[in-house]
Amino acid sequence: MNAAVASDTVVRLGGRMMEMLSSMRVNYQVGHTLGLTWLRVYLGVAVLSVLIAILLWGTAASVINALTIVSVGILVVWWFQFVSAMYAMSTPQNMRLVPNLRRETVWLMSLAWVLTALLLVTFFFLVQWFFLAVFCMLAAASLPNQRQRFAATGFVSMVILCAAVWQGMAGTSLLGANFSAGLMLDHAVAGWAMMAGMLAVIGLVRVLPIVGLVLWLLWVGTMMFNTRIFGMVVLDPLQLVYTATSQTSLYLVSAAAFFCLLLVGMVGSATDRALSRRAEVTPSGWGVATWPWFGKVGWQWLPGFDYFLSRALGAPYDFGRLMQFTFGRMLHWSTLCWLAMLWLLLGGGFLFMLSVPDGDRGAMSMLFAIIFIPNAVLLPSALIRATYRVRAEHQMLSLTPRWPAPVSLNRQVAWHFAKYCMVATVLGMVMMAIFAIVYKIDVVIVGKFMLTMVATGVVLLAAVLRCHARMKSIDLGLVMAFWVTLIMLPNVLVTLTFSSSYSPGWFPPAAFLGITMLAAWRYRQFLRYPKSLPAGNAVD
Amino acid sequence: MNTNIIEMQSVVKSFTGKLALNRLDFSLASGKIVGLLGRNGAGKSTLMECVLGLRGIQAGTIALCGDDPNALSQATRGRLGYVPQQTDLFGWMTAPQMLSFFKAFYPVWNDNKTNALLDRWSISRTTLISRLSGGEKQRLAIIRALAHEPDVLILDEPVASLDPAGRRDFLRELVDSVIARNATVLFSTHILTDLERVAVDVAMMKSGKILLQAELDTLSAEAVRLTGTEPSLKKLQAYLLTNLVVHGVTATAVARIPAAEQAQLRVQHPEITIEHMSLEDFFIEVTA
Repeated sequence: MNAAVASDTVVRLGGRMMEMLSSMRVNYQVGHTLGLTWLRVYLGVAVLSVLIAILLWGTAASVINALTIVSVGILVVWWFQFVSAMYAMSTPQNMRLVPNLRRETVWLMSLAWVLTALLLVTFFFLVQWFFLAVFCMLAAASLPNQRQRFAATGFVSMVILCAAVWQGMAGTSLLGANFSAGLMLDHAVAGWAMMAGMLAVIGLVRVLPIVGLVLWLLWVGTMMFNTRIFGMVVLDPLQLVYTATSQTSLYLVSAAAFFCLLLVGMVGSATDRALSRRAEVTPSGWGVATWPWFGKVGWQWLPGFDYFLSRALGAPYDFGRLMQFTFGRMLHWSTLCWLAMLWLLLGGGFLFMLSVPDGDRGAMSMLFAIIFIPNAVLLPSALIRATYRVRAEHQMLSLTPRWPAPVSLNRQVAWHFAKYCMVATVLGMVMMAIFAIVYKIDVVIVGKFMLTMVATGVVLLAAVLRCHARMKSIDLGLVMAFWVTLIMLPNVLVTLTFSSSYSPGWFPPAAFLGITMLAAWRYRQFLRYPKSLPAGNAVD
Repeated sequence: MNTNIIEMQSVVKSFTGKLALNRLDFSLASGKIVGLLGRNGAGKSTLMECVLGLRGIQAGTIALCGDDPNALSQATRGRLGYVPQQTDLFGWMTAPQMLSFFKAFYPVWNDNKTNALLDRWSISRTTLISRLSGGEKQRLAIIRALAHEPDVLILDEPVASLDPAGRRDFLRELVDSVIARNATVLFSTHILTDLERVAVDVAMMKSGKILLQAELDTLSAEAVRLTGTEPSLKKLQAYLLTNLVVHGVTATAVARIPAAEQAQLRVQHPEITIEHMSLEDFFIEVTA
């Protein structure tokens, strides 16, 4: 192979990667052009949180906290957005090759994204820089020209990555000790990891965000009263200057703002706008009636401005629609069950903790066991039953030209696995929350682990869905099962390493490993005995 | 050259021990309109789903437009229109949104038709699909299936949840826009009057098998009930489709006798009464 061929190959690979990563511009039909909405939401949250923090407390630490919260939220949502876009890219009609892409840009971006991925893998140590990188990438998305966007994103990514690596190596921060330390606030990460997991699911269902908000308030409320239900109040590894009340209040306010903006932005009329764009009618005027999520006629001010922004950004909207479309009612079920479980855990656990002496944790663990065990059985069962209800939707799609799944079976398998992956993730998180309480595990570790689980689960889902959507034979599914296990293994090992100094801490990762193995086994079983699939297949 | 759109040979499909398709052979030629008749559980829906690759089969072969149903080509998918028995559309979209979504998949999409049908069938453009009535959802599914002007239309009891006016509208649309284009239609129903308005051919199913397949007019002319003594009816055993039902000295049976032979048989067997049957009576007795 000569240099020219090698170079060309690399450029082709880079171009392919760009196709995937430039999925910010795909599939308006599904209605998942989300970028503008998310950007608005996050900028709104950021500004609001910082303003509130400054107004209420005026301390650097509270500002840092606000930034941390926003950053972590961005990370998780960006991942979901990215993954959903990746999945969308497997639909041929979504393929929009980047026109006239310069070779240097492809190189730059490919390198930047590879490094970013590496950074994600090691974000236990460099998490703050990754958040900042994502923030800058979103900002870069606002540039009008696509090539500029890519170039700017690549440049920013490179700078940040280099800085992060340098910081990690030198043990110093480029932006000051407080900034760095604030971004490293593990308890904020832990809190938002839980929130992010909830949001990722909750955001897809109409009413449940309200329930989630109540849950969040309840959780924060427990911290405000210093009940230590998650042990977060007492955790302050960096000894920053703030009080527990100010910190929890900040959580409270920022979470409320986040939820409100979510309700307005994500669950709002994004889909309608995205879909109506196909009509090529430019909205104008001072206001226009809209179709809101809750079914009542709404009003949108300055639709032309909004339309202009959405066109200028050209980024995906409404990933919630895509996720709902992809996973169907499964998410409704899982959300419902999960939230019901959390309700029980938080409400029941809180009340129970108030009523029992501090030393009597055995009774509490029994309560959690009673709550947890039935859910572990009922939740997957409910999801399996829910599978049948979406069969007709998938039947309809499988007969549609250009739908990604070449074989209907593959789609079903992907769907099933997505379901189990989600269940495993959710159950694992719940288990860890339970055991974190019961065994007083360091919440920092729990938080890190939860973050890892969320990120890993999302990556797995994306990989599996993409893989299956393109598969022509179920044999590849077995290969995929191997890869799934392989991907999961380092994650589990890392967690075990982190938890090695806490003997009870061995249990959650072990349980998670068990759940993962169960999911993989179940997945393999589906592949081997595909007649258990609701739509059947051709090889049973 | 094989011009069959659907070709099924010795197809076996079972559900946990219950045989839904029992070594079934069936073919549908291009441009034909076949009404698939059968009682509940006869295997009509299963047949259609197997043809479309929505269900796997245990044995036999199926070809749809020459393709393996489990690996339909894009071109074949673009030619297909399917209305399932139970419509489960995307409840979180409105009708125009869903149609717009599907429009993106197809190379041809008749906006005028979809708009006209939405208007004619009074389907709300602003209501979420999940809030539409069952009949409206069924209509919407039909609109979706017709919008890309398919060559092959597979309709699984598409009018089951429609009122009489809705059924008439649908059938008119089917006749006007689909059949006029020489499309191939496989249409299952248990409402025989609807079938008589549309279908050219009819295929009757029982216990996972095709009992008979014939042109509708021909079958209407050939469907008869024979009444006579048991020995006399046994002479016409070759024509009988049901077992003899004996009432004292007389016996009856349902038979299919070519129209040209009926007059001849009346002369040859004056002791046998040959009565024409309605398609509905014929269906009930044959599939009993």
